[in-house]
Amino acid sequence: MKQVEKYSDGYLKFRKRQITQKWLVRAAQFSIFAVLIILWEVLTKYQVIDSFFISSPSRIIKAIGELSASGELFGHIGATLYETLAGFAISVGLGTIIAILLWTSSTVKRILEPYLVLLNALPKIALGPVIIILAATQTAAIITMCVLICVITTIISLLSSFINADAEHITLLKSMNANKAQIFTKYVFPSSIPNFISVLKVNIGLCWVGSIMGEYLTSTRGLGYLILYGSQVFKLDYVMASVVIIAILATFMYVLISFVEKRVHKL
Amino acid sequence: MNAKKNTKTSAKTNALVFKNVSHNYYESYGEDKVLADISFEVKEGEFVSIVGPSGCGKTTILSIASGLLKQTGGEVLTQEQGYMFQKDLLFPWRTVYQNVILGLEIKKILTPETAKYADQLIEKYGLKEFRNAKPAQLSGGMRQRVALIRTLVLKPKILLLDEPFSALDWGTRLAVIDDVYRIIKSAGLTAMLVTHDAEEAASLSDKIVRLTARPSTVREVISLTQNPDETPSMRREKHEVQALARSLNSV
Repeated sequence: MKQVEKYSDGYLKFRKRQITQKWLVRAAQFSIFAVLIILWEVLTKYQVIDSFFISSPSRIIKAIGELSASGELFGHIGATLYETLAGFAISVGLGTIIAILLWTSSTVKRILEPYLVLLNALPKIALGPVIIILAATQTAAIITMCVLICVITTIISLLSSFINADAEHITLLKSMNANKAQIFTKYVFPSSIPNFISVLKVNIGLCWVGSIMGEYLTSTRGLGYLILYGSQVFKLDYVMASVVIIAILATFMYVLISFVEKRVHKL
Repeated sequence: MNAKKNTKTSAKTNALVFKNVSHNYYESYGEDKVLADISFEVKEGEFVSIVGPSGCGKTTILSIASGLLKQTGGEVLTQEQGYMFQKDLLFPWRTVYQNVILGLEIKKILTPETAKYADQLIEKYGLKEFRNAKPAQLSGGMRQRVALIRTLVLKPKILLLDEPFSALDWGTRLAVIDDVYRIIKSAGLTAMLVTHDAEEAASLSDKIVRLTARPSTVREVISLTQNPDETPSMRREKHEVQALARSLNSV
């Protein structure tokens, strides 16, 4: 299609309004952030609220400076990142494989359905102590925790999108004598990709929950450990510094998946 | 056109034969008897329509003819077929070309020759400039044409048409019917159409198989002589076609 060279006045006004609106939103977003940070800093500085309990932006920056100068911080970040990403990769992989197997055999699916419901309802964190005893290392225990938290929802969500794939498209493929594997790779999986990406988004968030909770239960390393340690020795600056770092890393991963999502939608 | 009741003998060979076919669907609440006793023949190159009251098992007949469904009784002789559905069922993430070669991929017969044939068909049916477009960029009529090419590229002997025009709006519909009919006739294909539209059946068919309500049997087989120079939309204007359509619609 050819690009229209000249726009009407009405359209130009519309675009101008749209752009103004966009900058207005950005400005408001940034202002809220700035005001909160400044308020926090000022109120703690003049002792209106006690910085011992809730720390302050300058103390958080100082804490991050201290921790990174001693080299300690990167060890903690590395440990938590490793657990979170390993848990994420394993739960997505395992969940997808199990969902495919259950899609392939409706009998197996029907047999296992009540167990899926039960495991989905169970708060997996309750199994924490058992996992710690069974797992060989702390890291393995924490990764297992992440996987347990994510894998059931992954299976349920993917399976339902596989099952709800349009029956008529599948009949078309069958009329071409497609086998089950072809039906899956040519239609069922591609049509489930939007759902697959939303599963990734949910899982990355849940894996952070798993790794931090896991580190609370058993760990001598990681950002979750740092939070627990900070709270026990009343170094709330460490706690807040860890929270800030987790927030930044988790948001970064979420944005990364959203970026992939946009690319996929363009295909 | 003149309408003669019952079959006239022909030297042509049979492309499709149904012999005392019956079919029951088995459900947890019981047995659903759809086809009681269906027998008819489709000769090579013939255009046959199946009409009857709704729920009489027309689509079941196509499913059995295509091998998607195994009849519970009787015998079916069939050949390599292509199936065209009510919806175009194009895959939105595939381009026109990629949609066309879907069946070649499935049957693992995508070779330089078959790929070239796919491109020839795309060009022949006026979709060359849309070869790399996504289905969303195409009109309803063009999409149905892509669906037809996707079927034709597999070189079927028989084309099974399950109300492929009913999802189109009226103006497009007549044009697409003319288009598809011309393509089928010029390729010398055998076709079996299921339709609710009696005028559509009367204006397209060499033979109409009329069914009773379920559990259905063949009520009558009507052989027609169509003028090959007329398009289906021209035939719709004719008095005999309209009269036949009216008699098909009457109970």
